[in-house]
Amino acid sequence: MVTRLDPKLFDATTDITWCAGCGDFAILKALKLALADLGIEPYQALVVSGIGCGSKLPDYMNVNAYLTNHGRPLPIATAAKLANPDLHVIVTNGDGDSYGIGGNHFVQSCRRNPNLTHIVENNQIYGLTKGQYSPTSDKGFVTTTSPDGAIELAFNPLSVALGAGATFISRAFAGEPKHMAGLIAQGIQHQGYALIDVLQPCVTFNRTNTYDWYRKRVYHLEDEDYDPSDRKAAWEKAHEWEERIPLGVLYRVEGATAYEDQVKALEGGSPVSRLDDLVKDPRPQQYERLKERFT
Amino acid sequence: MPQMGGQKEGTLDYGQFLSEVQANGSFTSREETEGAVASVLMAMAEVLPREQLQALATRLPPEVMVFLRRSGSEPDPLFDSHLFLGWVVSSVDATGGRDETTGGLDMTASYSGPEAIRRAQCVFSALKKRIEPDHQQVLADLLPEDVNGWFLNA
Repeated sequence: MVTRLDPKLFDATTDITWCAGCGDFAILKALKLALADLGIEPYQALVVSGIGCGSKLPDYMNVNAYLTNHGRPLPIATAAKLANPDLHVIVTNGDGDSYGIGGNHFVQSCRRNPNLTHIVENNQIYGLTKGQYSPTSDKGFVTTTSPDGAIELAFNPLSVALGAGATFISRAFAGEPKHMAGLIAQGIQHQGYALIDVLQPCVTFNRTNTYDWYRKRVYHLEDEDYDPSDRKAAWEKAHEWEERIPLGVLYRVEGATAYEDQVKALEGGSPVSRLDDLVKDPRPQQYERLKERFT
Repeated sequence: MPQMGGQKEGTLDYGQFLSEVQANGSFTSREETEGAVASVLMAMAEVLPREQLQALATRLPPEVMVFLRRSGSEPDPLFDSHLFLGWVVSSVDATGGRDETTGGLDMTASYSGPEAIRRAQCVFSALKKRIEPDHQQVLADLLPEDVNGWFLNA
């Protein structure tokens, strides 16, 4: 039985520098609640991020944290999970970091299926660098770097994740943090890579996709007769935008096998668990033997 | 739920309501004033129970009722002052202000929190004139932490 913890356990004393009203506040709150609801202690979780407004999030939590290079949190999170599969590893980064700079890592993570929870703070713009259009900006979106409107089609993370073989694909809205916390909790419990794409208004630079804009469009898949194991249905839902935007679990493969559970080198225990041997017997030859077991 | 008092003369006049908010906030245009009113009322609609929204609607001009409709069934229990400000900041022109995140003048961004709080209080002040004191306290108790203080002090 899971013992719920107090989300305040995850509170940090760091000053938060997000703009007032930023959707990242809701994501931070939802993540704390999800971890607390699952009874995960701060020392049992690792939050990895990249560069950007949303990537400051691990700094605002009392939790193991790793702020990496731009676009690189997914491979580093995968490495951390391989080294210590007992950790609950969560990645939080923005749409630019996830789908632009780290786009290849996103695709590879979908098909590799490491047991990670990937929360993408998708505000459809680069906020930290003052408002350039991002991979998820809609075609025609006017920004400082697209004064005549973005020329490219918007990147669709849900359909790409589905095509690349992801086993858990969901979408949340920062205006509904309680609902988001539930999706994050499901993602953490999923065996494999779990994408939670969070529609998160940038109140300073994105004057189009506001809370009101989303509020008028979002609806819950849970309220409809929707089967998240239906891949074709998920494909259709992944392409809904503009008029109606679905929230919830679009696609889930039950009983998926995580990447790290298939790595033969880990069958004898994780590298972290084997560190005890090294601590007890720190001779160079012991270290060499340990290295041999992983080559 | 405390009953609100009888309607006062002019209570339901939209022009008068807007004029009060515009004067409170020194807004330069009717459009800017309406933006502030809409954003604050929509934020309130996200957090107040439906019966309170209906009661509030009876005290306000019919033109603003559309902003007091919530599409979701129940208020999100995690809705806090940050989210409240998120709705209000949407009505603030964020260009040409002073960007406190970097400490200097930034032509494309401003740290809009103080302005959003000021706008919320301008609207709250006009609302409170149409609500009995005991009901003001009921509403304040239902608003998120910090927002209730802005409301009571408006």
